[in-house]
Amino acid sequence: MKRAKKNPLSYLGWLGLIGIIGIYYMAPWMITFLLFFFFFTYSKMVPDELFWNNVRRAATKAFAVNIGSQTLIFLFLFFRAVSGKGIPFSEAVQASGEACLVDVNYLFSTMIQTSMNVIIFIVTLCTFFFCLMRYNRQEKKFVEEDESC
Amino acid sequence: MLKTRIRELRARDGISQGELANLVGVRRETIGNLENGKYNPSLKLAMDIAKVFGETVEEIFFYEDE
Repeated sequence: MKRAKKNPLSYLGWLGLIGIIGIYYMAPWMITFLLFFFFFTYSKMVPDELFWNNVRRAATKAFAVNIGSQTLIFLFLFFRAVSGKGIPFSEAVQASGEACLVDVNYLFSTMIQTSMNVIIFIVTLCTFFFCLMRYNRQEKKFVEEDESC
Repeated sequence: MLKTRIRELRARDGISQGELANLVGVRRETIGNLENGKYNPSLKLAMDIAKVFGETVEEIFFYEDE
């Protein structure tokens, strides 16, 4: 007897275990990996060509969102660094001088960048999930209710 | 727009969407979308469907100007 082919996309669900490690160590950016458990819902779906077509369309949208948000974050960090806004200049300089200012600037930028990367990661994943869910719902509209033909 | 005669041929042969889907190894949704011109099949799927109905690909799938 031929075994039903398992949907390869469902294997991504195992990445959700990283989220459980994140809960254990209270690492918020790792907790976002729990979103990957969503992929297990596709384990029963036959991966035919329409399914992969939907995955490609959803992935293209997620890629565009990712590139767009990365660019915005990059520009934000760049102009923030150029203008020097958002950095506690006076406090840093008063505390330990110029070297401290560089450290604060670097640390603050790294913190912002890490937070932004987590946000982009979540936004990209959610874009992919919601697009895929929408396409799968749309394709069900054309299934005949009466199977007797 | 790509049109198909799948629904007509299914009615002729008394095959449901689900049966045709099983015969060509896809889901019912794929057959439904093909019938409604919402999805363009791969050459392999088109040839598999043509084989089920004993027709050529050109007789089942054709372009129609909108």
